[in-house]
Amino acid sequence: MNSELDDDQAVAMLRRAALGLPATQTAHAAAAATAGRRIRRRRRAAGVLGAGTAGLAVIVGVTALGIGTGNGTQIVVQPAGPAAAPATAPLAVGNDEANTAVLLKALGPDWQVAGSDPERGVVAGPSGEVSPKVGGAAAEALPDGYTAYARMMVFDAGGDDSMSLASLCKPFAEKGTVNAGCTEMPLRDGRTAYYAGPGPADGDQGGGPWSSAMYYFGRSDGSFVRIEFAAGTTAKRVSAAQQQKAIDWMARYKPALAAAVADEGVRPKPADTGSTPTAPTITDHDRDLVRMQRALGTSWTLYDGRLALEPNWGDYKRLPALPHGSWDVVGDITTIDRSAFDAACSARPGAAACAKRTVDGHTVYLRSWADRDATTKEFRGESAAYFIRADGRVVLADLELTSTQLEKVRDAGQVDGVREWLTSYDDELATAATDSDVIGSSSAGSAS
Amino acid sequence: MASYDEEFAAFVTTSRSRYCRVAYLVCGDWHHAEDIVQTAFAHVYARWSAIERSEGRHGYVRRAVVNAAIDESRRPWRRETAAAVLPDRPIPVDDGITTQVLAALSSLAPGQRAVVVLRFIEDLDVEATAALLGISTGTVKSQTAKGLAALRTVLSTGRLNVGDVA
Repeated sequence: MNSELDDDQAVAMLRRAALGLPATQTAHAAAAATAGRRIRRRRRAAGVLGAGTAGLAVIVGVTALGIGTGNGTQIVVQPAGPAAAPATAPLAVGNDEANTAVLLKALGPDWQVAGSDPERGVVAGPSGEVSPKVGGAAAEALPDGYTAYARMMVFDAGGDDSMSLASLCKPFAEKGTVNAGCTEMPLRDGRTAYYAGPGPADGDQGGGPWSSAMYYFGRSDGSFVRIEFAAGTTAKRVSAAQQQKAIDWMARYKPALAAAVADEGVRPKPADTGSTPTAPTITDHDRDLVRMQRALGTSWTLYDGRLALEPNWGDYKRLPALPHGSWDVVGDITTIDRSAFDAACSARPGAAACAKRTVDGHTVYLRSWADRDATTKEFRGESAAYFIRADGRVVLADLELTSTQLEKVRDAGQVDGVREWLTSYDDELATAATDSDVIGSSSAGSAS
Repeated sequence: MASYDEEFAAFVTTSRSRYCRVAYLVCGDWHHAEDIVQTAFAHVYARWSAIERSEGRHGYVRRAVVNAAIDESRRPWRRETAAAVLPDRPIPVDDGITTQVLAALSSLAPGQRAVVVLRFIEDLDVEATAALLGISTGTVKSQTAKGLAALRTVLSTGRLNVGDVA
């Protein structure tokens, strides 16, 4: 046995351990940021949509113990009186009597505070929601088995970009949850409120039993007001006709709720100081990406103007295995001029030529390729669909694939697998390119 | 002014190795140490501003990494997965000292190991260590003493050359 170490020697040994660790690479930061964006997206979706379903459960009488989503968002809680300073809490529903009164004034006399039961002397529920009175005209006009609620909250994101009005108004799609983005709703006094969904293909992409709409109003101090308005049922399945009837029912309240979200009676009032909020801008390109996301399916996520394959989800799993690395596939839809199309589709040595196909009566040109970069050893590939419109513009819907590998793994079969995977999207890309609702814009020139 | 992503990349680049080292010494598994740190960074990215306002980004990552590493070492069965082929990810260079120190640290209880690493690798004082682990300062002091004593014994038994580290 060797001589006994003293404390200093033991600590010195401890401090010399594990100093030769592998260095940090740029890919580490990029991978963490990608994972962080996914967490942020899910928190945001959980905060907006999860709260909606929980609220609905309360209304239809299903026991709900809480609606906390744990998303960490700072929400301004209603102060006790007009003179009180806004207080902040990790998560709270900021909807007291003043805001409830604004909602009830907008929605009409056949609405009440959710949970009210005049016969039992209960005049207000704890959730801050309002709902149609049972047997009232509003409730009777809903599809059978449906109920609805509205709730107002005031948000102060405290500089968190992911909770800014501009961010929330951007089109968003992830794993079946779709928000097609905000549209402007000019108010009589010249101010502007913003409205998001629902449309026939919004809400749950799988045909969910509820529909949700959001009304926003940005305020001078950077805070914003949101009214969440939802109609739905606890039934697992609903018909398209029922869903459409609910959406039409919700549309009746659009002018009233747009005015309510900007009402001067909303509490807390904005702080006197602050800058004018930046109006959210949804570009034509944003809307085209929404259309393309629908064509590609739920494996594709649209977030902050970027349409990408969701990692480790759905179609990602059909890609060849990539040990110690990850695939990144980005989708885009733009218009190009005819000369660019001719250059891309003409058969050139070493380049993939376009194949001409007819899809739903439209002539589409398809091209896909995959290889491995000789220098970086990373995989790359592309799948593209071109559609020449009557006005001569060419709509290009394409996917670009790249790989990131911390260690390069040699596997000759992977290029073929990648090419096959890219080719499998021919129909979806053709659908996107020929979609008559696609406006067609240059992504570079229209980013908001 | 640096963008959000640039700030984050700089934060990761400058601090990742440090936290990987802490996680590695606490949980003893390099692959899991990397995963733990990466998860902590992802959460920092998701709540960049909020975390800075509360406990600070370094404070958050340190706490998340240490707690996750303790958890890993307490419940190793959670991280076991069957694989047909052994992974060939990069691992730290075996410098002899690291192997001995890891072996010595593995003889400590997970909480005691975390106390020793925080006190002598992260150079936290007794109060900060107690706050991070949610234990009393008295416990930190006693765990430090017991941990060092155990390290001394194990390292004395297995060390190759005391003169290298004195």
